[in-house]
Amino acid sequence: MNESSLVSGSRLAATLAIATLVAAGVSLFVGYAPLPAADVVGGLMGDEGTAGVIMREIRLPRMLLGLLAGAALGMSGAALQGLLRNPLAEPGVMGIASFASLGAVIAIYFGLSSVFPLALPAIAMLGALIAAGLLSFLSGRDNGVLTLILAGVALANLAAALMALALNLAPNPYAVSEIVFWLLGSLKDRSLHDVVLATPFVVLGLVILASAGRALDALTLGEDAAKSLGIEVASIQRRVTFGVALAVGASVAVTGAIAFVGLIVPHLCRPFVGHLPSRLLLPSAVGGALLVLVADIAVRLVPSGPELMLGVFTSLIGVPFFLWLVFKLRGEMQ
Amino acid sequence: MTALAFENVAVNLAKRTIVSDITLAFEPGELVGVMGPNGSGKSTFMRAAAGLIDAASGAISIFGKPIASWRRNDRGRTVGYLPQGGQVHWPLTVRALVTLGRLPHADRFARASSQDEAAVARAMTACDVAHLADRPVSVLSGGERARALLARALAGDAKILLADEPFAQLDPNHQLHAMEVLQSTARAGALVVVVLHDLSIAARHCSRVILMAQGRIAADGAPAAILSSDNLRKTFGVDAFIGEHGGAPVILPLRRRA
Repeated sequence: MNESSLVSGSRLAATLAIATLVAAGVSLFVGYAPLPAADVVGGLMGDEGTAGVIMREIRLPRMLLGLLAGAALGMSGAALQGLLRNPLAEPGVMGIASFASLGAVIAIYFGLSSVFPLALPAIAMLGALIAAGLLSFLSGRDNGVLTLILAGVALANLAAALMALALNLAPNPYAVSEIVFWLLGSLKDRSLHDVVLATPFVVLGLVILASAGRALDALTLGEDAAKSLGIEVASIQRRVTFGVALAVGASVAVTGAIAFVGLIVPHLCRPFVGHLPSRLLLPSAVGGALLVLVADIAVRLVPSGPELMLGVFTSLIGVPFFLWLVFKLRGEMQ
Repeated sequence: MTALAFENVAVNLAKRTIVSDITLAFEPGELVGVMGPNGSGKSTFMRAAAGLIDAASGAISIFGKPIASWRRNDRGRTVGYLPQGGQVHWPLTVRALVTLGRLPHADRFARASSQDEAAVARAMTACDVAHLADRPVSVLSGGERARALLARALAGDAKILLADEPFAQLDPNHQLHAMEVLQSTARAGALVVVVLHDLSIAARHCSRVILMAQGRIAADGAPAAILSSDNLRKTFGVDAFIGEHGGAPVILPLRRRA
């Protein structure tokens, strides 16, 4: 492949990985309880007492979930964009995350998650799978921007309507506010239990997506040429859909929907990897983790009274970015 | 051994029969021009030959083996296909684009071997895009892009090359150049089947011409015999000037027949 983009591609991944490690470290030192550095380390190492509880039950899960959700969203965005050959594809924008949220709301609402913990990620993943499946079915052979966006808008609205229905029928105001807060997307007040619940599915999803790189490269030439190069297009559609559903479904189940990560990160990484879809997957995962960690540090540092929800924060950055991207694409298409 | 064979093949798209009664055999080393009016089934024929759509009836075989029983990757290595109006969805560099043609040869991790790199360099030189190697496809002109896509198809070193209107956007110089590239590919022992509309180029360069009309084979044989004024009138509805220059035919459509 292009040597210069290859070099800058691996340099990009390495730079992002180092930055992510730093952010992960910083993330452990940021919090509402002022902990001296010695307590942070000691708490992680298994010290008893308040520092241990804060580190192991609050900050560590928060950091790990940031890594997990960011990687899931970043790589899912990159893979969906490659599959649909469209830089506007993203789990959040396309309604996949909304359907995962809907699944999670159903699991919480009917109390399934308290009886059977795996029901939460399972139903969220099922929701994501349905949305991703509908999306690739609706956009089908015609991969025009318009069809895709309309299909995404339709799905997101349907999910929103069904969630509104769930809120409408909610037994008490407390349940309503719990669901609403959860929907906004946050890494706050999660436990190691959540990490353990989501990790296997996210990792499996990422492995599946990473294996699709070659086929996504071939799809650059359109479906017919990809098939003629020995790629089974239908199977790659299934594989990406399934991988996205696992990764996004499982992470949304524990963090709520953190919007726009899958849109912003692949777009920023793409020029560094020569626009080749296969080379975009890994940097997008690492970059996604970095963005979520940094955003989560930011919401803890912004003095906003009650903590700004992470999903709200990423939307505040993401929406202008999305509009800018639409504007730019409109220019290119004319 | 026959490279590509059609036996009484019919192909349907959306339940409509697009091509039917196709019985043809192609040998390695042939340079076959497929010609015919718009909508006569040329592209459908090419897609069926590439294994992209199944025949509704009849049998298509590649080197004696039914097309459906080829392993996908082996078929990709044996049959190169250049679709009409080729798309490139991301602004890859020309080199990265041409390297995609090596995908069926690559290992699981799609790392390019020195053999791949040599084939890519050869194809880029053959199609006169080597000087554009590091340019993104998005900034190329239509003709440069068409040449880069032809290089992509050539890079696979396939024994059968199917090219659907590769010349549509090329200037006269590069049209001739591309035809020479296909000719030398055929001389090197590959079967080359190309859809084209230029009657003179077909007559001068192809070793065989197939005329299609309404989804069927209207005529098949040596260019001089097939591109006769009678056939051109029947198939295309045009009166043509058929002359000669330096011992090779020149064909120019003059007027439409009512």
